[in-house]
Amino acid sequence: MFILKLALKSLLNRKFTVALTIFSIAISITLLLGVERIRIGVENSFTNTISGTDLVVGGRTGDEQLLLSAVFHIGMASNNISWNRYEDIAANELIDWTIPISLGDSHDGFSVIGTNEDYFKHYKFANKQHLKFQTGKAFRETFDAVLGADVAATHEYKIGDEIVINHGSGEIAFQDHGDKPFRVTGILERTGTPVDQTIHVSLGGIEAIHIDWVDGMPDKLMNFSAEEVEELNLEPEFITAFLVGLKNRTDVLTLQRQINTNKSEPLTAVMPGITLQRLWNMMGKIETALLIVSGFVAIAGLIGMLVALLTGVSERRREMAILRSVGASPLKIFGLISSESIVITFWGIALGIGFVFLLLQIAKPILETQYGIYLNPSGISLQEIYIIGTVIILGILIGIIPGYKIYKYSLLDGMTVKV
Amino acid sequence: MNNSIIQIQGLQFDWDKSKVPFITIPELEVLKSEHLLIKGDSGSGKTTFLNLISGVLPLSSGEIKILGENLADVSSSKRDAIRANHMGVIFQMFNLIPYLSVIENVLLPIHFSEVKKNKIRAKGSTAKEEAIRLLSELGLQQKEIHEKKVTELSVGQQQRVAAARALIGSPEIILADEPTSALDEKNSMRFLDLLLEECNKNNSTLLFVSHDSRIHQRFQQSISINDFTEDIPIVEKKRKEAVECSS
Repeated sequence: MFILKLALKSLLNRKFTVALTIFSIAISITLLLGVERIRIGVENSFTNTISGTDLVVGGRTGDEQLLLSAVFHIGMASNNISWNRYEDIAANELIDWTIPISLGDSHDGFSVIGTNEDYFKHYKFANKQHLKFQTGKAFRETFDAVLGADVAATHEYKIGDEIVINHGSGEIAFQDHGDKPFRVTGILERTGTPVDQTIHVSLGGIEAIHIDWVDGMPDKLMNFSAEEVEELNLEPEFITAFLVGLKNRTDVLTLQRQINTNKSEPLTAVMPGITLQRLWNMMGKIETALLIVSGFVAIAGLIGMLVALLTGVSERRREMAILRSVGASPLKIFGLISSESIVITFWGIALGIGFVFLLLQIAKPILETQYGIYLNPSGISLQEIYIIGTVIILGILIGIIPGYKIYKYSLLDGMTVKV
Repeated sequence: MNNSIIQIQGLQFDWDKSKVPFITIPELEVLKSEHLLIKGDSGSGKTTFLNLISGVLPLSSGEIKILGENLADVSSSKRDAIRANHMGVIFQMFNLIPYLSVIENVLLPIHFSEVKKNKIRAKGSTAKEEAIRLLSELGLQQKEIHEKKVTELSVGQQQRVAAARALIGSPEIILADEPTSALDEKNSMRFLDLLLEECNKNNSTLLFVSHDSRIHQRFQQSISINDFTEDIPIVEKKRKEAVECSS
């Protein structure tokens, strides 16, 4: 089509301005799509903080509180679960595996979790990824500890280092378990989840450091050394919570009801995915704010295009008069100017999408290893198609403004321009 | 069909309906191959007159027949089509689209008119060959000029490119709006002679608007736009004096 060819030639004639305009639209698109990608990435990594776990079970409390304490180690569980009850439930034939969790101690603000080897076998995060060791291996002895990536990085701990666990959470500890230090046997790879800020020890270890304590204080009469304590029965009396994986996921509601309604000990079982989604929705306002900001950036880019096109309008009245004289109708002239803005918008969007994918390729490994944000590097989501569609429509609508102005001028000027 | 190319009856035009008509032409007939000089002082409405003939401006009342078709009766898009198919226009200056090459500027009308395209095809030549032929006849035969950016040309060269564009596809009517006023006398005359010669070859009717008295003798006919508003009989007389140009 000749008008489109003419529009392209005219744009080429103004390479510099046009390139800048295309670039500014590209940046808006990059920002819009980038924010959208990261938003979804963050949401996914949050809602997948724990994955592959069907139920989280703890003492009777609220769903969110249980999840916050058991998975994020925020706040304290108000009730414990007796070891016997745990063993009862774990024996349920619907259950494939369980991971017991015992919380309450810390090391320099990092929470300490007492668990067993199943933790490293069954705990999954993100897209059902297993925990991996950077170096070393899982704990075997009572006073072995496995560190999350952040814990190791912050203190530059290495295998064989000794660490002392404090009683209670919080960075300033008043009571420590200095008499029974732990030895680092393994360091986990970064996951981008609370696991990175956690020290993992065996349930026996947790039991061992508290065995000579009474009412949260070291007992004045009892005092066992680290060696003595290993000879004792270190089976825990209580745990804080446990994670459940089912043989068949469709049984989740059945088991949840069984646990929640059981009269022998008041327990709460929650489905982590649903509860995480609910927590995310509570914090989700930030993402809307981000999206609004990048929306404004897109509008600024389009207004930039409008300004670039409008400043050309009066200079181009002569050009339009020439086209009128060779028989172009005002409508064709309107089409010429409008197709210029469509071309600019189109290239801006294409370039912006290119930028996004390029940046995603560059940022993907960094975001994954440093922040645990897993981005989807390819494909375009429906939401993104909406965003692109909106920008195209706005671009066309904005292109109509100078087109209409030129149209009015060319009706008025005819073949003669008095500028 | 008779030899009448343009027929005007009781034409009136005003920018503002309540006012006295800006242009009034009771009657005017321009014949095939006629070269008509339209004189007039600045602001007398010469250019507006050309805009009316070319169908860019709608008339207030009266009729203008172009090749038998009354512009007052047809839609503006039809008027655009008549202009595209049967007219070529040359302006005083700034005739050319800056982002197109010389040859592309000459070829511009072909994209808006099938009629012009077909006329060239009927001659057994392509649009590009025709453009090169016209440019050469107008003294722009060097190949390197054809691909040049129009902004690199002198004003005289630009006007000749504009003439080639007006002439391509052999339109019946050439409208020239003071095309020589930006040129010096020598170039003016040369340009005018080339234009007249090409019009003769094409049998095109030329309406040439100018306030330049130096070029008067080159035209068989001349009317003054001021006459229209002053003395109708003078127009009548001039019209009757019109002689068909030999071809």
